[in-house]
Amino acid sequence: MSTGFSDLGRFSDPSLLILASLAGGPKHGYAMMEDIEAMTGTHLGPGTLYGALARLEQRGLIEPLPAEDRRRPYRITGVGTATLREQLTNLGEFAAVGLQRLGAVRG
Amino acid sequence: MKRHWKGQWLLRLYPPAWRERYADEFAALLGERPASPRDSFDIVLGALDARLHTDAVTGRLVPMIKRLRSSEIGIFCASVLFGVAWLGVWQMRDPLPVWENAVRLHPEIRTAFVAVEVAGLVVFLAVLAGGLPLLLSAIKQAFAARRWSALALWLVPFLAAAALAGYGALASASWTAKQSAAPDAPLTPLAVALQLGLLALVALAIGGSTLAVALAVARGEPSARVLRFALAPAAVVTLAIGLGFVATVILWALTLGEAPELSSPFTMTIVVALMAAGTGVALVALRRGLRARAAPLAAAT
Repeated sequence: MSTGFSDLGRFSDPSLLILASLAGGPKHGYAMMEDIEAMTGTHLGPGTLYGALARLEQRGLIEPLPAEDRRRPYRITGVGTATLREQLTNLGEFAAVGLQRLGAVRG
Repeated sequence: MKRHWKGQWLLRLYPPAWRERYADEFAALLGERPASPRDSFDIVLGALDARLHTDAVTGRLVPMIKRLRSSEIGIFCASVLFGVAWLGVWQMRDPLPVWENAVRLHPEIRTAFVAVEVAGLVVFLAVLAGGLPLLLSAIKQAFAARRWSALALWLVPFLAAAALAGYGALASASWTAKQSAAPDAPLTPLAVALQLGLLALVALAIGGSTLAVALAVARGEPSARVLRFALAPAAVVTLAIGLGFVATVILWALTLGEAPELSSPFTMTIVVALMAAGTGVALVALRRGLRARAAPLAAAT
């Protein structure tokens, strides 16, 4: 079972980045920001990060872990993993079609 | 330092429910990565979003986790009340010859008694099923965070059981020796004092252990997943307590009418009252837990 991103509005891209970051293991907010910057070059502001975290948590796609010295790590859930897989698969198919068309244009 | 101060001040723009949930970790993040002017603007937008979407943004998860936790503590306390009452029912079998005679003449009394016994066993097993993950999670966290006081709370029931076993063995040996020597002699003051002491120690052990476990769960931070998992055994505990209560009331009515020698009306009244209290507490706590579990899903749809 997966949950779509259609109702996340401007938080859909940050949510996808967060899920991808957490797919590599539990992280707290700062570690997520650093990982996303290293992974994609995208800088997520703290307000955007926590707006997305709150929405993902509410939908059960991630869950909080016990805080360690005020820093609270998050973990991706099973539903979150399924959702991420679905979103990335769709993006992959879209990228493949787009590149194919570009190839046809150049050719 | 100036940028760090500005970021922390901006936190106050967020609504209280949001701050209750996220302020600590948000402040920790700003401590590690002070807010640039761009980040400060992002925080302002985030605060505006949180104020416009107070239902969508999860200020509720902390209350949800707290409600789940308090629900399960409530059901645990209810199971202790039930357990104490269950011991009161169990003592109906003493002396055994009187019990055997009564149930031979009135087999329905044995049926009701067995129903209470089974309910007690189900409560015990369900408390274990729900409590062990909580216990293991709490011990793991306590070791990781070196919170030895939290570990100490979990040790209280084991220490209480050991103290009880030791005192019980000593008191029983002393009392049994004297009774064996003179079975028809009245109890000596020492024997009476030892028995009263044992009763007091039992009350202290049960009360102290219940309080220690409740505090340990309340102060710990079990994950939402563990708390949600524990709700199913908690529901089983509640159902078993309710059925045990009904069976006890039936047993009470039967013994009053058919075999009053099995137990005094006063004792059975106390037993039924304790079970009623346990049932009430469990039902209220379970309702609270089920509503807390449903709340985030309802908010998302």
